[in-house]
Amino acid sequence: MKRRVISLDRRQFLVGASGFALSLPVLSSLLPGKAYGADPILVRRPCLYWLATNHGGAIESSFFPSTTLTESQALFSDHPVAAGALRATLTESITAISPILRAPRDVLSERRVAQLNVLRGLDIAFGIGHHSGGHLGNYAGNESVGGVAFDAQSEPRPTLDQLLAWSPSFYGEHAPARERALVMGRRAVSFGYSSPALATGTIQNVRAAESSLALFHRVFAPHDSPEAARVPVVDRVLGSYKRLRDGNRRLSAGDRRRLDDHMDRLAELQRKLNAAVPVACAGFAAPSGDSALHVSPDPDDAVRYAQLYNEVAAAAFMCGASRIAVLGLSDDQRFVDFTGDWHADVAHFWLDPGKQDLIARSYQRVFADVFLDMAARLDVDDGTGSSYLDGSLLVWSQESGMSTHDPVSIPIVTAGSVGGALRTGQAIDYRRVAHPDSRFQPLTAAAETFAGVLYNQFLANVLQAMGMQRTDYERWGHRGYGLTAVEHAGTSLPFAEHYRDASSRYFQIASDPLPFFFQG
Amino acid sequence: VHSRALVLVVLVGCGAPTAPAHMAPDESVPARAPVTFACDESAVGAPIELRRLTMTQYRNTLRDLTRWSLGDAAHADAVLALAGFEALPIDRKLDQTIDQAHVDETIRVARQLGALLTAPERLALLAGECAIDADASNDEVCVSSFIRTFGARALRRPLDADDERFYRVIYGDDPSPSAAAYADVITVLLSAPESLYFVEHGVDQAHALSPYELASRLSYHYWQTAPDDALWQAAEDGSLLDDSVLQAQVERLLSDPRARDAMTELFSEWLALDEVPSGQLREPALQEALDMLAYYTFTEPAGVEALFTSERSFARGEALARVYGVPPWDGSAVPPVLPPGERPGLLTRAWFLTSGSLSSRPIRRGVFVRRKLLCDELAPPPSGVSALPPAPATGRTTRQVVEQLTEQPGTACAYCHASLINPLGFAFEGFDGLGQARDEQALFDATGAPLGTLPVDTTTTPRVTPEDETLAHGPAELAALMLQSGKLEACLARNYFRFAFGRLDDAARDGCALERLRSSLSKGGLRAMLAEVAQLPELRERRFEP
Repeated sequence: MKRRVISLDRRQFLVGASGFALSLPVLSSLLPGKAYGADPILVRRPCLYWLATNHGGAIESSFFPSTTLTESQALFSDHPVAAGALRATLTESITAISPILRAPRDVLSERRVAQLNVLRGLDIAFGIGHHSGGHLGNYAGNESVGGVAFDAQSEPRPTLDQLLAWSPSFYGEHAPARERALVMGRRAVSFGYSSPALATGTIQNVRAAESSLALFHRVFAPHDSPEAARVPVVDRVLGSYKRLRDGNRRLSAGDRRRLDDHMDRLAELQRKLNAAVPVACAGFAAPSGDSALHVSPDPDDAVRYAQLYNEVAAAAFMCGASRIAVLGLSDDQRFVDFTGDWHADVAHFWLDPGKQDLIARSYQRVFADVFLDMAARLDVDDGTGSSYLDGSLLVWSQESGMSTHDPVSIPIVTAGSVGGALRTGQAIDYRRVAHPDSRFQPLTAAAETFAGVLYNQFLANVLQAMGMQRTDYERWGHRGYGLTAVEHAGTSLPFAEHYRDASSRYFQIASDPLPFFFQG
Repeated sequence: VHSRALVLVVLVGCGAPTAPAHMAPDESVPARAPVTFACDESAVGAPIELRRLTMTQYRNTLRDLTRWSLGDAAHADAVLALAGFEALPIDRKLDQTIDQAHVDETIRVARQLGALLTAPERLALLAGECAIDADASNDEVCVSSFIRTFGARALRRPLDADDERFYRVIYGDDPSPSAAAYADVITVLLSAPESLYFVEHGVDQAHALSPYELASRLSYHYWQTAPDDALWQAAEDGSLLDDSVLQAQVERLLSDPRARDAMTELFSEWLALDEVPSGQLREPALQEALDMLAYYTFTEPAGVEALFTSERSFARGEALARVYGVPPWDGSAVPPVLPPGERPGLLTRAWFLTSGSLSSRPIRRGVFVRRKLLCDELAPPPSGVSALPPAPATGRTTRQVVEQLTEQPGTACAYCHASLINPLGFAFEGFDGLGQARDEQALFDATGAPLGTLPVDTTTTPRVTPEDETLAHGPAELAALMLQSGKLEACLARNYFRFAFGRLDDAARDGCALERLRSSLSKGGLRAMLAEVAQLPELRERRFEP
């Protein structure tokens, strides 16, 4: 069956746009009732939203639920994994899963709690320190200056959003009309090949959209209809590159590679110009604000900044304009009142009660006002009886675990089940609790935690939930997604004892389903 | 990003002085950055792969091309305001990545500009009356002439017959006047590789650049834009290849206000000004640093000694001038003199001292000076040393807290911190995190209640070079040691090389060029170094790898 796409010309768009240019709100009732479910070709495919915040530093007892974990499963004979249903405590106005994971009752409803997961015990197995690409699997995007983390800088790979964006297994013939992945925010978290279509070349940062409004226009506004009598101008531009690339004038091999990279981008632009914005996208008004105007160190401004990106991403997901969005928040966006250097004055002093309170309140706002905001936007009937959220996966990851700079037990919150591929409504603890080889005591026994399973395995589970096969993402015979390396012995991190080396059991299972999480 | 890395170095500790496996032996010795460079005449610099214009350069190019085309700057600027430049990505010279945003946005801007320039009221200005009159006999000439003249300026070289044919085809078979056809030609010209990149073929096997290629290199280096008429003329008649003409052109370029604007980027990158923390004084502090550099480069040309010892204030705003205790500078008169001995040189000014809060950051200051100004490598920390600070202390000065945190004998941190990092930072403890001079540090308890004051201690052994155990009492003496070492000049020369050629320097392969830049800086000052780059083979030639 031929793919059914309804295209709009400029005039049709303008007629349609005249209404929502007046800022009609985005209403689910405006959406086509059977946009995807009724169409065997445009069947709903999962979307991935990733919120990345830096530092970490939230003490575990504040972040993780105190829920009794009633289920247990042996990952290995000496490593049980525990899980239990998320239990919320309710007060008159607040629902709380944990001191940080709480929100007003209307924001964190019983339904929403059942759509979440809170994962504990995911580790990057070396001292990666500050990183930006690590959230999504490019461990080379780190700022460390020694040890395995330094060595990792020579082994970059695309972040999983870019892997998905360019993988035939994810978009196939349905690559979106405008943006394969919406890369948003001030923290550089997305990395891809210099020639992404061919998956070749160097790994480079994918520039984030600095304006949510500009991003909206890029995604939703149809391109001008080319004059019928004229050859599309991008074809001509491409011709100018081919002419130089293949001509007789002297060029170096490096020059030609650079021209090839540019021509790849031109080809992608050409593809986008020839694709039509899905008709369902006509139901979305331009946001009433722009993230670029909300960059002051004011908590409400920080929330508004993030929500404006959420608005664009949610709209793109719902109308099929894109299926991937990543939002990187930096620490100069203040979700609590604080003047000064967050990194040096707060994050490094995570054990100080006053600073921990700032960290906790900051993350609480990120959870309630950014992560749950996105969940709410997608918890809309998609026309099939379930919601866009149910068919998607939302992830909130932090740069470190509770000890700033240390990647032990990086907390993860998810929402959505990807159409049932993931179990939800659970707290899951992957740590190898109480085992001396896995113990990690950053400064004080009061902050003790344990190593668990590889973050690589979590990333691999995300990729599989998005429909990827192992062959789509595994490289060099290594399982999971991410670098296969372990910090050597003699460090304060527990990795040498717990993970041993890159051929050990945790690396062997790094593409296996995470217990209690992935059900296929 | 870099500031984060700097702090991480400090907080995760610093390695033993033995060389880690990934470092070359000479890199492993801290504080050993060169003070001169060995010139191996047989060495060949790393090849340059097709460099891309920065988006600043692209914007400037379109601005000047539009002004040239319309012959009326005000009219051109009104057009440019509608071209959507604000959506072009922001980038740096050393960032040569090509991403989708570059391609999408440059084509979008080129299309927009094409449409604006061919609007009915402008087409005749752009292509002549022949583009709008009813005389069909001149249409073909009109189109060809436009392609030849506008195309040459857009591609920064004359078009050959093959080029003309290519762009003529874009216009279409029918030569009759068509705004859409002209707009397409403009769009393709402004998006062509010769517009967006420095396409260089050279003229012979000896790697010499063509006069037009050389003109572009000079113009983009000194002005961040395409060659003007005078430079174009020197390229056209070939005289630019003559040393005396080239030197005269360099003098002319450097004397133009556009050179000041262009070098702002050099100074901003060298001093990492984009990493200065936010706050009320940020913008005036940045402005002051740039004004100071421009003053000693262009207004009163001098060397690094003036820069690091100057007791003049370049603070233009009331608030910053008040911090310094001087009247604001008007930007043109001789800058006011500061209280004697209080703020000598560039490093006693707000851009460097400000931390975003009242607390000073001696570790950050020390790492900055060591790496950015002395170009010393700091050995990596041992693996997995945890980044855990002690509980915040009350009743002690910042220096005492930092010493307790990082200088405990026998710890992995102590080697670098005690000898290479902290002493450089401690010299500036006479200034708080807002850049205010102080003799005593106010102390507070955890609730913010005042606890009294303690005197600050700025006496250190900075070890600018590893064997130098000279004490420094504050920033003036530290600056003197830095100047005496020669490392400031060598380091600035390296930074200038990177800026000029858009790539990292390699002491073995680029030693001759680096030494010439360093020497010119040392003997003739900042302006002389800027001029010297035009004499280097690296600027006049282009090597091709197969």
